[in-house]
Amino acid sequence: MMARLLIRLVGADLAESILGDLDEQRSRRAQRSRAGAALWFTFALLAILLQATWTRLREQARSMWRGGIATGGWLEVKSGWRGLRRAPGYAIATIGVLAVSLTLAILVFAVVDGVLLKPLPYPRSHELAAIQAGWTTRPSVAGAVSVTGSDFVAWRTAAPDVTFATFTLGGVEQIDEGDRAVSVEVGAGFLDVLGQPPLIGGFAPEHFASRQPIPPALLTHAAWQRRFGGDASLIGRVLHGDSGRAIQVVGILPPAFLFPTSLGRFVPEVLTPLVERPGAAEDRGRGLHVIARVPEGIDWQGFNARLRAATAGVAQRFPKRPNQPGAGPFDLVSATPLDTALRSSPRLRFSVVFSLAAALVLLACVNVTGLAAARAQDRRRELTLRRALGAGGGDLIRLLVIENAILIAAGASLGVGAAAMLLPFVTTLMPSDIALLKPLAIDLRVVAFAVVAATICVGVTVLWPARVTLKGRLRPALTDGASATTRRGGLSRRILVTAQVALALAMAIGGALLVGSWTRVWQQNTGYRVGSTVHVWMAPRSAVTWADIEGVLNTVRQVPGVRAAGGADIWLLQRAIRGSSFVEPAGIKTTGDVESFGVTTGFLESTGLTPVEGRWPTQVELSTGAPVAVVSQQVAREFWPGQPALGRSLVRKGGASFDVIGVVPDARYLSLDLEPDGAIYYPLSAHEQPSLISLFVAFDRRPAGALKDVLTAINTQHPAFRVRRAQPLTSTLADSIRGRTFQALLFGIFGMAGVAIAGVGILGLAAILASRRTREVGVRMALGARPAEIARLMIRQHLAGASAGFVLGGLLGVWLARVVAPSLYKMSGFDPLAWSAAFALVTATIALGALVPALRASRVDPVRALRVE
Amino acid sequence: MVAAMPPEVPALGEFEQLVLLAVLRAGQGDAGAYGVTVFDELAARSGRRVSRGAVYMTLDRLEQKGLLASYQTTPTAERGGRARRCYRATRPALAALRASRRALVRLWDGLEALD
Repeated sequence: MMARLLIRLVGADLAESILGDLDEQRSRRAQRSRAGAALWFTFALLAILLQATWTRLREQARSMWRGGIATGGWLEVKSGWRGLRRAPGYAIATIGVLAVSLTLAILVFAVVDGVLLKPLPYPRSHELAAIQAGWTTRPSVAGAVSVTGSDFVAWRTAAPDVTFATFTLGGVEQIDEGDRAVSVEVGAGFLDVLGQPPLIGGFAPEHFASRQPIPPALLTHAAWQRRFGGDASLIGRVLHGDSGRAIQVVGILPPAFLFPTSLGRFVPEVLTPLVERPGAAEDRGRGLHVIARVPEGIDWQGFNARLRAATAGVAQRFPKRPNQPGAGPFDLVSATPLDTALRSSPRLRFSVVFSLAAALVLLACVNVTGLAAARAQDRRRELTLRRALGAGGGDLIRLLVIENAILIAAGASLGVGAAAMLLPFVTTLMPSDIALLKPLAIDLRVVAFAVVAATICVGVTVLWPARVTLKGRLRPALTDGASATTRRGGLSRRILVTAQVALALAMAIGGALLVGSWTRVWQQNTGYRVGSTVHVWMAPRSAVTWADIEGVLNTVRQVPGVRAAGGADIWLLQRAIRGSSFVEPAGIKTTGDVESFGVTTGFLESTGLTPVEGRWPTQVELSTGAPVAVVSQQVAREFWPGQPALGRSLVRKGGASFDVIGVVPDARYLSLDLEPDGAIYYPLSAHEQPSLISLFVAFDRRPAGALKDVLTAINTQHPAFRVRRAQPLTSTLADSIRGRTFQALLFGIFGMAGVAIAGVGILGLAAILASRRTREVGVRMALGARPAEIARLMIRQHLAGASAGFVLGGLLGVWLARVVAPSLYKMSGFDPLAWSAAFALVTATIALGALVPALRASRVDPVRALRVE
Repeated sequence: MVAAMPPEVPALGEFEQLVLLAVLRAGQGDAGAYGVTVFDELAARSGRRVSRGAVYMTLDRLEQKGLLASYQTTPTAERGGRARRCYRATRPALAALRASRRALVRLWDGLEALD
C-alpha cells in the first residue's frame, strides 16, 4: 500500500528507483539482521512518503497561488461567480446553511472564549485560591456559601504564610442620576492578593480601620468611562444617591480588573472597604467570601490540612446547639485554585455546547459537500471538457476552491454579521452563575475562529467534489452527458444522507430533551400567585423597627393601581437556605429543610396563598405579633404524621409558643426547579429584630407605570430601606432558572438548526438528483409509468441512507442523553415524548426534503424531458 | 544590432547546491550517482542530518529544472528486479554551481580572518 501511495505521489519512474534503492540497502542490512532490515525499510519508506507528501502539498499550494489567485485569480473569481449565478438555488442553499451554522458556532465560540478559554487576568494566577466551605449533609450547596468572621480569622491564623482577603456580595449604589451600580465590599489587601492595583488612587489603610461616614469607593474602569466619560476630576468627588447615601470616589480600577466571583452579568462596578470588626474571631454571622494567594513552594495538601484543622477548631468552639436554626458550623473546607472555582461549573456545560456547535458546522460542511458533489456530478460534462482542452487537475481544483470560497466567504460574512447583532441578546440570557472573563464581543479571536472554521469548510467541501471531478473519464462523460451516474456515486450519496440524518437526529434529541425539561420546570406549581405581582427585593440600611416596615407597606398601598402589598423576610428564589427559628417536635426527623418566615399584613392578599385548613392570621394578629403560626402541608405532614396540625403548638427559639391556626400549600421559595422546603409562617411583628427582605406588590393592571411610582415612593419617603431589585415575579422566577433557560434555548436552537440544515441538504441533493434523472423520467413516463411510481422511485433512492442515519443518530442520541441527563428536571434521558418528537420532526423534515423534488419530477412533461439532452 | 544576452544561469537553493555537488562527487565512483550514493556523500560530507526523502525530491526537482539528467542501469535481483536511476549534472548545472561559487568567493574576499 505504501508503495502504491509513493507511486501516486512521485510518479512510477521515480518511485521504482526509490524502492530499488531501499531494496538494495535492505539486502545489505539483512546480512546482519533480517528483522532489523525489514524495520529499517519500513521506517525509511515512511519517512520518504512524509517528505514527498509535504513537498507535493507545498508545490500544489504554490502553483495554485501563482497560477490562480495571485495572477489570473480575478478571472477565475468572475468565472466562479458566473457559474454560481447559473445555479442560484444551489448558491442560496449553500450560503444559507453556512450562515446559520456559522452564526451559531461564532456565538458559542464568543461565549466559550469569554468563559473558558481566556486566561485569568491576574499575575501568577495559579497561586490564587478560593477558600470554599460547606457541610457534608448539604453537598448541593458546597462551595456556594459564604463564611463567618470566626472561620476567616481561624484560617488566617492557621496559615500565616498565605495571604488572605475577604469580600462580601450584594449592594446597589447610586453613582449617577437615575443610574445604579452593583457594589461589593472588599477587605484590606484584596487588590494586593489579586495583584491588580488601582489605575488611579486607591484605598488608604485608615479606610479599613473604621467605618467612614461617607464610604470611600473605587470605580471600575468601565463604569468610569461609560458613566463619567473618563473624567479625571471625579477622584475625590462625593456622589450622592437619591436616598441620601453617598460615596466618595477615591480611585479607579485598571481596565483588566476582574472581580473573582461567578457573578456573571451582575458585574460589580463599585468597591467599598470592608471594615473588620474587633470581635471578628467570635463573629458567627455568615456573609464573607474568602480568597487567598498561596505562594510558590507551599504544599496545597498541607495548606488544605491546616484549613481543615482550623475549621474543626471553630466547630468545637461553636458547636451546633439543640434547636439552633441553620446547619451549624462547617465540616468541609478546601482551597480550590481560583481558575477551577470560577470555571468548573460551566466547563462541562460549555464543552457539550461547543461540541454541538462543532457538530453543527460539521453538518453544514457535510451538507454543502453533498450539494457541491452533486453539482460537480452535474457539471462533469463541463469540467471534463475543460480537462480535454488542457486544464490540469490543479486548475479544476482551483476552480472549485474559488467557487466554494465565494460561497463560504458570503456565508461566513453573514454569520459574523448576524452573530454581532445577536450577541447582546445572548449576553442577557447568560446564566448569572457564570463568570465572564471578557465582555462578549466579536473581537479578533472570534473573527479568527470564523476564518479557521470557514477555511476548514472550504477544505472539506472541495475534497469530495474534486475527487468526483478528477476521477471522471473523458469519453463517457462527453458522450453520455450529465446523465452518467455510477454505483460509487450512489454510495457516496448514501453516506452523505446518513451523516446528515444522524447528526440532525442527535441534535434534535438533545434539543427535545432540554426543552422538554425546561417546559416541565415551568409547569411546576409555585404555590403562590405570579400573574400581576411584582417582587421588590429590599435591603434595610440599618436595623429597622416594625413601625418602619408598616410605614413602607402603607406608603406602597397608597400608590394608585396597587391592589395589595405585603412583605416577609424571605430571600425569595435565591437558593438561600436560612433555616427555621422554630423547634422541631421531639422525636421528629424531617426529610428536607424547614424554613420559618416572618410575614406582614397583606402577605396573603399579595401572594394569593390560600389556606387548605384553618385560617390565616388576622390583620390585628399580624400587626401585634400575636403568637399564631401557619404551616405548609409538608410541615404538617412531617411534624404530626397522621394527625391534625391545627391547634398544635410550635416553640420558637427563645421559648415563645405559637399556636398553629392554619395549613397552606407547599410553595417554592428556593428556586422554581427546587422542591419546596417546609415552611412556617408567623407574624413578622413578633420577631425581635424584624427585617423586610421581600416585598410583594399586587397590581390591578399591568404594573409598568405604577411600579415606578412605588419605587419613587419608597426611595423618597423611607431612606432606611434601599431597593436592590424590583421586577415582576415571573422575572424573578425566570432568573432562578436562568441556567436551564440558557441551556434549553441553546440546545433547542441547535436542534432546530440541525434539522433545518439537514432538510435543506436533502432537498438540494434530491433536487439535483431529480434534475439529473429528468431524461430517464421522461423515458419511463413515455413508456407508461404513472406519477406516483415516479415519485416512489425518486424517494426510494434516499431510503437506505436515511434509515442508516436514523440508526446512527439514535446511537449518538443515546450518548447525548447520558451527557445531558444530570441537567434534566424530573425527566429521564430516554423520555419517550422527547425522543418521539425528535424522530417525528426529523422524519417529517427529511420526507419533505425528499418529497418536494420527487413530486416535481413526477409532474414533468415526457416530451420536454426527452428534449433536455 | 542587438547584443546577444548571456544565457541565464538558474538560481540554486543551498540544499540544491549540496545535492548537485554530491551528484558530481558520487558520479566519480564506480557505482555512479544514484539515490544511495548521493545520500551517503551528503551524510558523510555535509556535516548535517539529511532526510532521505528530501534528497529524492530534490533530485527529481533538479531533473525537472534541467540541471540533472538521468539514465537507468540494468535491473538486478538485489534491487528486487528494479533498475538504478543514475544522475549526471548537465552543463547549466555546472554553470550554476560555478556562479554560486564565484558569488561566495567574492563575498568572502577580505574576510579570510573569519575563516
